Amino acid sequence: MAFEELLTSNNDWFLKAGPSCEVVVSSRIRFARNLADRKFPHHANALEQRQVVDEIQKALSVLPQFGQMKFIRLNEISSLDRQFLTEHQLISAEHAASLGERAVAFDSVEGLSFLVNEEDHLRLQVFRAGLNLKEAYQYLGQIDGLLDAQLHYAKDPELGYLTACPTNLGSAMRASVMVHLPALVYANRAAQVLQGVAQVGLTVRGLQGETTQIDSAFFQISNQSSLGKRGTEIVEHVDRVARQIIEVELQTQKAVFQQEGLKLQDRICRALGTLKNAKILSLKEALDGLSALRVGVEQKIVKGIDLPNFNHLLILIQPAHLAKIAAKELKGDLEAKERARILGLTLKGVEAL
Amino acid sequence: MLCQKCQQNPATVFFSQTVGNQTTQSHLCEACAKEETQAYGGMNPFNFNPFAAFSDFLNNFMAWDEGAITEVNSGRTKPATVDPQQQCPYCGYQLSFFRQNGRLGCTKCYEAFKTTLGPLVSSIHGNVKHVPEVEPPTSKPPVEERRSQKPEIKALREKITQAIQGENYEEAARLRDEVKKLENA
Repeated sequence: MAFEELLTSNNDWFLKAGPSCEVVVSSRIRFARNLADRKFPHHANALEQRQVVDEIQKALSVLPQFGQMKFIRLNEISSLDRQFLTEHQLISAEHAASLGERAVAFDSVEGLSFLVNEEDHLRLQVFRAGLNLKEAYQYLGQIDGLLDAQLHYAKDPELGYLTACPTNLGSAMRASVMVHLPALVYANRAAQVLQGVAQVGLTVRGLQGETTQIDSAFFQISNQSSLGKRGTEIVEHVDRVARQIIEVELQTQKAVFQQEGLKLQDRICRALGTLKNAKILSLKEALDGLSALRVGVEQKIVKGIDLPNFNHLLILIQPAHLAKIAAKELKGDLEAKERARILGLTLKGVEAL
Repeated sequence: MLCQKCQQNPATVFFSQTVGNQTTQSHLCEACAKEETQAYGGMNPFNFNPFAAFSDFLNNFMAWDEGAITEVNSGRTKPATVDPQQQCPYCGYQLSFFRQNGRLGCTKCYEAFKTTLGPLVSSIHGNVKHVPEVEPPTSKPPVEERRSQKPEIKALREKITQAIQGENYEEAARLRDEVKKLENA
């Protein structure tokens, strides 16, 4: 097993308190880029794929960040390690699962990663804590500019960056934010608000990737199309909508606490009790508990933990992270047991007021 | 005992999942158990696939497309052999593959399948053209503004605007590099 150092790193991006982090968990910018006159990864043979990996590796080495980056060929590591990198936000689930010559280069402190031979030859992405799309876009734009000078990107004056799938043409970027909307969900207003978001051309997804089903209080909001729009426009659009959502969520939170304060306090304290004392915890139960606890911290009902710690916990309670912590494969209830142990340990000093 | 999920392979794994105070238990084969575990472990709030909805959209679009063709051909079905116009001369990719998986074979497929992709692109994105960022975002806008007051840079910027209006992107990129050089000097 590898990457143990990522478990103990205490300066990763998600440990910082970002702007508006009471509602926005994280911001992400992602660009899709392809090399001109090459087959897209899914249509290329192993040799052609390897050439792309080598070429991109060489281009990445000119980046000032390359010194603290890791470059990994995904077929050289175990599937557990690939799942671990997925949970750590460094590669996508698709990238972890696909076959062939593919690689990732990452700097986990910056939340920066380069996915080579995923759906496109290169997908570069960066995460920021809280609502910080503008800074993330500037940061990734500079890196993209440096790579543009090294690699021959496929571009068309009318279609923009050429991508394996035509949905991603144009600026070929996604700006997304993960928001936590517990009050809107509680007050049954989330569906209505998110429908409004969809009407202004953004995509909303729930925890399981479903638009229609509200299965947790976490949602991801991102732009749909990037053709015909400048990158900065896209970023401003998502940022503006995110700010409106923050306002509605905070107003709703205030209102529901005025009306049903005792009931909500009870819920939060029960969640704390469960997370601290349960012996086995499913992922769903843990996420729901952390969602409630997060509201407790915002409402100053719970002390002893701050918001960035939640981001860390959301990642730590995932299966491959638990296996890495336990230093062995966890079968059946052992995973749920380890999850309960970690949460009990982490939340030891956390108290309800 | 057969696997309770696929009803095909022998059940070798006892799968138990507890959510809250509800426990579901099942006897599964190894493959199904693995699938279940992955579905269960795939609940990571950071992991979304923003591109997932596209295949549905494409199927709908292509269904419409096929419908239109059938109408023109008065109900006749299309021949099974590969029409050279349905294949990219550069990479050999067939348009029928794209209908199946929504992905193209290479960057030149956009040219090869222009007649099919043109309307598709418009229906996804609207009838629009790419708008480049022109200048890459910079972390020091105030310095940039001060520097751009130099007359020679100002003149170059005007030329860039003209080049872009004339859709002369290569020239615009060359001029942009010249501006950069002057600014860094």
